[in-house]
Order: sequence, then C-alpha cells, then structure tokens
Amino acid sequence: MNASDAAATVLIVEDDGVTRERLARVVAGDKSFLVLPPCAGVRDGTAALQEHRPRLLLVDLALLDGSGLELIRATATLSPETEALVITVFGDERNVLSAVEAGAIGYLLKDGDERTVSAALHEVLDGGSPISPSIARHLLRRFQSPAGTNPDTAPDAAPGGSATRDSTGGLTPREIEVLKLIAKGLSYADIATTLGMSANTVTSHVKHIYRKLAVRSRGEAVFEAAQLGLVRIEQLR
Amino acid sequence: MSAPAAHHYAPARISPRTTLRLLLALVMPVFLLLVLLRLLHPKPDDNVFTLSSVHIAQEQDLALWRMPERPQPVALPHERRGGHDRIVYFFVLDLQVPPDRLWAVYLPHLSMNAAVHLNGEILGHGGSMVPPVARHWNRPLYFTIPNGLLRSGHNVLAVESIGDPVRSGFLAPVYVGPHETLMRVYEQRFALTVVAALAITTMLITVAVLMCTLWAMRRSASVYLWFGLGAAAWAAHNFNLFVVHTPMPAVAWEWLWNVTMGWLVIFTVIFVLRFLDERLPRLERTLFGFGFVGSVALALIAAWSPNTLAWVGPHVWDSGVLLLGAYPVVKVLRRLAFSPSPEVGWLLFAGATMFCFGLHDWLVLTGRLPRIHGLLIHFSAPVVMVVFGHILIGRFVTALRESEALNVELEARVAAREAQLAANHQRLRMLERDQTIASERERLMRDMHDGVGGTIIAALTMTETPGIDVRRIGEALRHALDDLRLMIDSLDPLEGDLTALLGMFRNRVEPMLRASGLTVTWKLAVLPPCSDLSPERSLQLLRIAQEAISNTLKHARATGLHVTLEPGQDLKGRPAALLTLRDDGCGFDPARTSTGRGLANMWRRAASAGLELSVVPTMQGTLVRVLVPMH
Repeated sequence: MNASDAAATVLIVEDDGVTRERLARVVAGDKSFLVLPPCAGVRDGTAALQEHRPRLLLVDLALLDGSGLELIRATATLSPETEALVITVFGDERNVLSAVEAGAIGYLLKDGDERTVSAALHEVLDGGSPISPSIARHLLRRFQSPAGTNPDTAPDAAPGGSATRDSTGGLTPREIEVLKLIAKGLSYADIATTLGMSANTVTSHVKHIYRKLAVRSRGEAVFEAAQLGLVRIEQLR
Repeated sequence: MSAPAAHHYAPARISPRTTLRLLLALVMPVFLLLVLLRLLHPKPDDNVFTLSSVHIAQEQDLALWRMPERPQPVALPHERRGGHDRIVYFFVLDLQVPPDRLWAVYLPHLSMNAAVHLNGEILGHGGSMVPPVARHWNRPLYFTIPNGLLRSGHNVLAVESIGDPVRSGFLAPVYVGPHETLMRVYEQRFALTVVAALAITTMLITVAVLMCTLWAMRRSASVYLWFGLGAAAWAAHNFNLFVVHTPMPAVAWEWLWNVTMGWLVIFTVIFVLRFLDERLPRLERTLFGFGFVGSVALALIAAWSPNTLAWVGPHVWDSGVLLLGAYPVVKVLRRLAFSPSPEVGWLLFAGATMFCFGLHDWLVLTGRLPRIHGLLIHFSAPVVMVVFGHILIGRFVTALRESEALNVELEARVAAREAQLAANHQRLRMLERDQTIASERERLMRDMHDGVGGTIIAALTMTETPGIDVRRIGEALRHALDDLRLMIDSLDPLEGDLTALLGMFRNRVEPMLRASGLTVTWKLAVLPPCSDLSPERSLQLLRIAQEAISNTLKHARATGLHVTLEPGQDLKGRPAALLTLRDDGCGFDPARTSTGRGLANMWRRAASAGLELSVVPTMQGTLVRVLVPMH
C-alpha cells in the first residue's frame, strides 16, 4: 500500500450510533487513517467539515436533520480537497448515483469488514473510485441519453436509443470502454490487461467519469434554473 | 288496377295545383305543335305571287316554254298518290312591266326533287332527277331568275317534279317574287327544316354516346343504356330529314327510316319501365320480338314491292308503333296518380310531347292531316333531352349530398371507434400492469420467504438459545444480507446478459473470497443475450452459485476455486450457458447432514427455475455445473 506518510483524516457522519461506532472502529483499524470525532447530522457534520477539512468524508444519506447529499455538495465550497464516499447498505445505483451527482467519489458498504473498508479507502486515496457493474451499467445509460432526461424516469428512452443525438455524452471513447467492461463484471486487473493500461489508470478513469456526472448534473441544474429565471448566467462567472 | 304494386297505393288525393300542372303537361305539347307549324309556314308579303292553281301534263316530250295542248287543272298543294313518276306543273305569270330588281322562285315543300324552267330556260334543279333521286322532301328549293328573263305579258313557269318508288310526289304552292322578300321566308324554313334537324341529330348522337359511356362505367344503372340506345335509334331515324344523296337504294333507306322509329319506341318503353323501377322481363322480351319480327317483315316487303312498303309502313307498322308509344305515357300517368313527384311529372311532359308529335306525324303519313304539315316528331327530342337532363342532374346532386352526409357520419363513427379502441387499449395496459405488479409482488414474497425471512427467523431462534456462539448469529445475519443483495441484483434490468449478472455476483463475493484467502479465478465468456433470463431464474442461479461457494468455504478445505461461464449444450443438444464452479478441496460425503441439506436446497432451486444442475464430488475436488437454457 502506497499510503502517504501522514495519516489521512477521515470524518464519519452517520445517525445510527451502533453503525457509527462500528465504522469508526473498522477505519481506525488501519493505521494510515486518522478518525475524527464522528458526527450524527448535517449541522454538526458541516461544522466539522469546516473545522477539520478532512481528507475523506464517509456520509450516510438519511440523516436525522437532513440529507447527506447536502453535506456532499457542501464539500465543494467548504473543503474542496475532501473526497466524499457515501455509506450504503446495498450499494444500489439509486443512492450511489445521486451521491455521485452531488459530488461523491464512490460508495462504501455499511457492513464492510476491516479489509474491504480499508481497501476501498486506499483505492480512493490512490486516485480511484469504487464502482460496481450495476452502477457502471446505469452510468452508461445515463451518459448515452440526451442531457436533461433521466432514463430511469423516462421509460420511453430505450437504452442507447438516442445514440445519434448524444452518443458519448461527454465521455471519451476510452472511458466508455472502461465502463462497458466494468458493467460486464471484469475486475480492474482484467480490464487493465484487456485495455493495456495499469489498474490505477482504470480507477482514475472511473473517478473522471464520476466527476463528469457531477458536473453534468450541476450543469443541468444551472440550465434549468436559468430557464426558470432563478439564476443569471453572469452571476455564475 | 293491373299495376304490380297496386295494393300498396291508393290514388293520391290530387290538389288543384297538381291538376293544373297535369293539364299543363298534356296541353303544352299541343300548343308547342301549333307554334311550330306556324313558324314552319311563314306567310310571304303581298307583292309575291302565290301560284296555287296550275296545269299539269305527263307527256314525255313536252315543250317547256309553252302550255301543253291538253292541260289538266289542279290546285296546290298537290299530292300524287299512285306512282306518278314524273309530272310537269305549268304556271302562267302575267306581268304588265318586267321587274327592275332581282326576282326568285321559291318552292317551300316538295317531294322528291324538282327542276324549274322559265320561258323555256332552265333556272335550276335540286340534283339527280333519275333514281336514286336527290331527296328534297324536307328541304325547300330556291332559284333566282336571271335579269331579263321575265318579260311583260305572258311568262310560262314549268316545274318538272319527280317522286321516288316509295314516297309519292308532292308539291306545295310555289312563290315567285322579289328576291329580298322571298329569301327571308326561305331562310326561316331552311333553318327550321334542315339546320334544326342537323342540330337535333347532333345532340342525340352526343347524348347516346354519353349515356352509353355512363352505363359502361356503371352497369347496374341500366336506364342509361336504354336511354342511350333510344337516342341512337332516333339519331339514325333523323338522317332521313337532311340527307340528299343516300348511300343505298331508296327502298333500303325507307326501310331503315321505318325500322329506326320502331326501335326508338321499343327502347323508350323499356327505359320508362326501368325508370319507374318496374321490371317486366316478359314484356321486354315481347317488345324485342315485335321489333325483330317487324324489322324482318318490313325488309321482306321492301324487297318484294316498294309500293307495298309505302302503304304498310305508315298504315300498319307506324300504327303499331304509335299504340306502343301510348303505353309508357299511360304508365307514367298512372304512376303519377298513385305517387305524384316532380320527377315523374316532368317525365309525363316529355312523354306527352313525344307522343303528341308522333301522333301528328302518323296522321300526316296516313293522309288524315294535310301533307303540307310535314313531319315534326324530331322537334320533341330537345324537350325529352332537357327533361331527362334535368332529372339526371337532380339525381346526381342528390347522390352527391347523400355521399357528403355519409362521409360526415362515417368520420364520426371512425372517431367513436378510435376512442373506444384507445379506451380498450388503456384498460388492457392497466390490466397488464396490475398483473405484472401482482406477479412480481408474489415472486418477491416467495423469494423473501425462501431466503431472507427464513434466515432471520433462524438468527432470532439462535438468540433465544442459551450459550450459543454469537458469531453463528452474525453469520446467519450476514447470510440474510447477502441474499437480500442477490435479490437486488436479480432485479437489475439485464436484458438477458448472463455475463453481466455473474459479473455483478463476482463484484459482490470477491471481497469476501479475498478475505478468506482462497485463490479464485474467473473466466466469464461474453455470451449472446439470453431471451429467457427472468429475475426469478437469475436469482436462483445466483443463489446456487452462492451456496456452492459457501460450501467450498465451509467444508472443502480448498485453496483454489475456478468459476467459468461458457457456451454449452443441454441434454437435448439445445444451446445453453454452462456455469462451472470447481474447487480443489476434499470433495464431500453426500451422506453428511449439513451438506445434504445444502445440496437439497440447490436441487430444489434448480428445479424451480428450469436449470440443469449437477454436483459431482471428484478426487480433485467438487465440480458444480449449472446449465442455463439459451433458447
């Protein structure tokens, strides 16, 4: 493991006390991480974020005083160097993708043991992003549908049906290849061999894709707001 | 009452207004006839000599510049019944001073041809004076007198007249007078006899062609055919009115003229019957028989004796035809009495006109009316055509309106049907959706009961067992969680992608496998989409694989596990996907209870999802093979 010399600070925001304590214990098991006092809600989480500017933020979505998405969005302004990971029970695409859209870099399963959690966190520190085949498949669909429509809410949009209009959706052909192989269930190592690149490159591709999704969804939000007259474009410059 | 549908009708109560119209329809034709006769015989001015008392002579070698020695006085009009072929009429014209203007001789009505001589000089003639004689029976003759030929005192005008074998000779009063005066009356008569006949015949030919074309395009409307045939027969009949030089012998021409009148009436009767929607096939057949027999009989008579044809034609044939012509008029009158309508009223007017003019001609031909009247039936043709044109246009407009109304109604019905279909479709979709939801709900319930539910109850039971190892409870709960994840993965819309399904599974189990220290190799071939990969089959396949892996981890004491997905065949040789899980452990003893129950579970799942499963304990470890049908 190529952890940096200084231990990476980790902020955990989780409303369930037992899970919070367990997660803190699991992360603290790896000496390359320094666990900050865990938070239970959006408000103290925001304060801690501002105060500590952690390297990693592990956040649950359903918090007592709001949504974890607010916290993820806040990192962009309060602590830009923080990488956010969403804590989820199933790693299902609905929760993960909304978190990624808000700016998260990946997900962490709630029941993960010491080894898997530490592996996932190290992957993030190394510039990668945890992803599952199911999420990859949804990402492919999302990027292959025209901006502004979500294939999951627009049942008429067949997968790839509008490929002529926006077939890449801002993704490079290489990124699409990577996504397709992940969707097939190949491991990073297999993908790296198939595409002739290092495993690290594969995970950094995934990270780029996540970033693009976040930018894209922000763009859509701004576009919609401008359409509604809520924001003037000059204000954003 | 012999009308076929008489019991349906009682004679309608006829209003005074209708009575007036009825009378008008019957009287109007007589009035038209009188007007026509007056127009055909214009009275010349007083300064014209009307030559009506003359002398005739029949000798062959006559001097035409003086009166013959034994002249016979006659009065004009003079008809020569009885086969006088050639005759010369002598007129003496006494003038005190010779005219200083151009004068002319005008013969309004004659038969068949004439040559006019004045004081021994020939003024002119109407063409051939020997058979076939030029035909002028319906055509006035007019000759101008060269200057200086008329002198003061005695002038002898000789009109040499010739008949033909069938039609006897005739001469109406002759006029001599100033050219400018006579020319006017001549022109009027020429227009009414020749030009009108030409125009009427042209119209009849046009109507015949139009009606027959209409019938050809609409065979069911037979009225048009009979009307067209009638018009054609009438046109053929009319050629006699203006043709001067016939293309055949006079007898044949006369035969044709008689026969076409007969067929005109036959076609008219059939037309009227069909127009009134009365189908009398036997009567129609009889009419045709009458037409054919009559035509042949007349032909035989003509060949045998032209003179007999001259008598039989008008007296026998035309009489029969006239009687026949009365039939449709009576028919129309009766129809009008039972169900009066403007259409039938107009038809009565046309029929009455035709019959009235025909009766007039029959009276003339049989000598009951003066021959100078001439033949007039063709003048009823314009009346018939105008009336029928009126009826036809009326029917056309009605049909057009009806079709427009129908279109509107049809559109409304189509719209209603479309709405109904859309509603049905919507209802069907709702039903389908409800059914899908119900069956999916049922499946989820079954899956939960089968997997998660059972495991959680087991864990719950364990917590109530004193002295139980807490790790066993944790294991059970983890098992429940894993199964829940498999269920979620099986719900993913995979579109039959078996490779992706197992890829997801690999992603799920890999961390655990890695943690266990087992070396796992995955070889997942990319397979074509599987048409029948239902969420249920996906879930059972994943559960079988999960069970196999957990057996390997728990019991096999293996160091390596190979998972492969490749194309294969089922027992019947059909294409299938083959999933193989092979460990290098110690195999198993099927008799052992714990593995036994796990295996039984795997068999049950395979059977319920239509998968072919084989679990073989080998010397080198356990081999689990699952065949997923691809057809």
